[in-house]
Amino acid sequence: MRPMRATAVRTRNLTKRYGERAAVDGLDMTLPSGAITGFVGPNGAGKTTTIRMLLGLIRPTEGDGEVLGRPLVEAAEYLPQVGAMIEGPAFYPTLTGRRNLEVLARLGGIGPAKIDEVLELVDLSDRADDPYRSYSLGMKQRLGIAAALLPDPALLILDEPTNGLDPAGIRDTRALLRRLSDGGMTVVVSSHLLSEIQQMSDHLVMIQRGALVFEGGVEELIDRQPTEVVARPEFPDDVPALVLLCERAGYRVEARDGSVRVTAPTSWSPELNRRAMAAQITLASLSIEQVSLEEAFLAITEPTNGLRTAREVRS
Amino acid sequence: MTNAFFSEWLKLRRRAMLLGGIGATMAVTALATVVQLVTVGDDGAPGGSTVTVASLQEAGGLAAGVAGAATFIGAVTLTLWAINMANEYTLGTLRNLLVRQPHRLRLLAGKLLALASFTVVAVTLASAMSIAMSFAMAPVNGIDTSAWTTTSALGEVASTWTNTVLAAIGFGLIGASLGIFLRAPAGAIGAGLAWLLIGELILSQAWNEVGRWLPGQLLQAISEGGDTSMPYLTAVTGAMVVIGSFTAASGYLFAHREVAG
Repeated sequence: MRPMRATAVRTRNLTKRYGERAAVDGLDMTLPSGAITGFVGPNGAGKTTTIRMLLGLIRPTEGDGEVLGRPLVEAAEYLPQVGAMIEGPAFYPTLTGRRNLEVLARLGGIGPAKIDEVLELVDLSDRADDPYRSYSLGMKQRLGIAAALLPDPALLILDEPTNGLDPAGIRDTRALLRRLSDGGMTVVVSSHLLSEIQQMSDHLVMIQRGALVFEGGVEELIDRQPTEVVARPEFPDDVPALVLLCERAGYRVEARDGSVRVTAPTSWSPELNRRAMAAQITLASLSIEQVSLEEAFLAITEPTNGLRTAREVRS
Repeated sequence: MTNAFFSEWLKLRRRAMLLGGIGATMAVTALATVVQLVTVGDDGAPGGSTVTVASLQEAGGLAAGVAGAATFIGAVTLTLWAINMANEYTLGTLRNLLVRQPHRLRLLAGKLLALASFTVVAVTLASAMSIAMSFAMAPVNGIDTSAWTTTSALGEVASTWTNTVLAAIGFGLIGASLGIFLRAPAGAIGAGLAWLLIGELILSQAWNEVGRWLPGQLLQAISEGGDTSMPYLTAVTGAMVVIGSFTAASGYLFAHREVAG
């Protein structure tokens, strides 16, 4: 039974500079234990650099952090409890999948029985004795996840784990990560597939230009974004009257394809229904359109919308 | 370190390493042995070799094939160690290894010990094959092998084997260090062979005294059991200082350099 702590990873002002350029710029984040955290950001946002610092592969220029209760400078103390796949799977091409895992298991002092177990978990048992170079991209990815699971980690860090997987493989990976998380494992998934992150994550860390722009629950982020109430009157001739009615209520309205799209809270939709009835407009349909994580992400990170990073706001 | 040693052996056991490493070592030794036995005459062999039929008939003649191949064995060893180390960077596997063994010097020590033991196996098999071939090929040139079955011959074989192993490990350390410095197999092999085969030759011709202390010259002196200009113990001490410093510098870099990309 591994000890449970509330926080698996915490960073404070974590910074990595290459010359003048800051790849990670004063990152403060707190990742909860036992949850799946989605780690997202545009290309070059600093996700992989952050992960490398957590794994002791590179040293921070400034700031510090803790992983599983130990400071970053003591990476050797916590890494035996960490499994990771970073920058895609990397193995010896002429060795079989099984032998590649044996190399890592032997190095980490992990018993050979674990190898069959993780191969089974990622559904790679039947191809385990084939050379790694003969694997498809999806199989390589699954072997990378298997390697990360070898130490039965308390913290699992996966960089783009669903890259190259077919839809069934993506679904299976999602289910596997959920199962692992339910068993108490802390999972950190970095991905650019935001729909994937939305479906599998409990917690979200969003960074841009090396700094935190959002941290919290996935639903919390989405709820922060305005929803759209979409009303379609029975008769298209009623659209102008419906637009006027919504504008009088103080909301932004757009008429499109015989419908009226109102940027308003979900809770306003019954009121819209009542007001339409009072104005003798029959609604053929009334629905709520929630923004996706991708739309929320773009709303936060698009440079054109004038939003700034949390650090920029602070300074 | 023990885990790193055995983990490395799982990689060294693969067919490419067995064929490329042990196979190549045996092949160059076999070639050197056969050419020596076939071309040797009363006044030496072609190419300015001082080995004669008479010297081959002495107890030390049994190990002459291995001794003659020592430099080639060194070149093969340098290549293998350079590939092994540089490939960890080019394949990206080093980051996996460092997550499982964050004590970098333990990882490096385990790897180098495994490579050294692999080299011992390769030189041992090559020596055994060279001895068998020597017995088989001796009649071609009418070489009397009666001195080869004495205790003295056994001592000569043991001493040549030790010197060849030491020299090969020295060449291997140069290759591994270049692999760490350059992080690319082709660059490491190219730089190593160019330095040993061309660079040192030019420098030793220009400055004879300085040239004797270059790593390749020291290792050659070790493989020959010392010579008139470089006593054996001086060569061993010199190689430990020169190659030891080079290895220590690469070890420092391995332990402290950031692993990114």
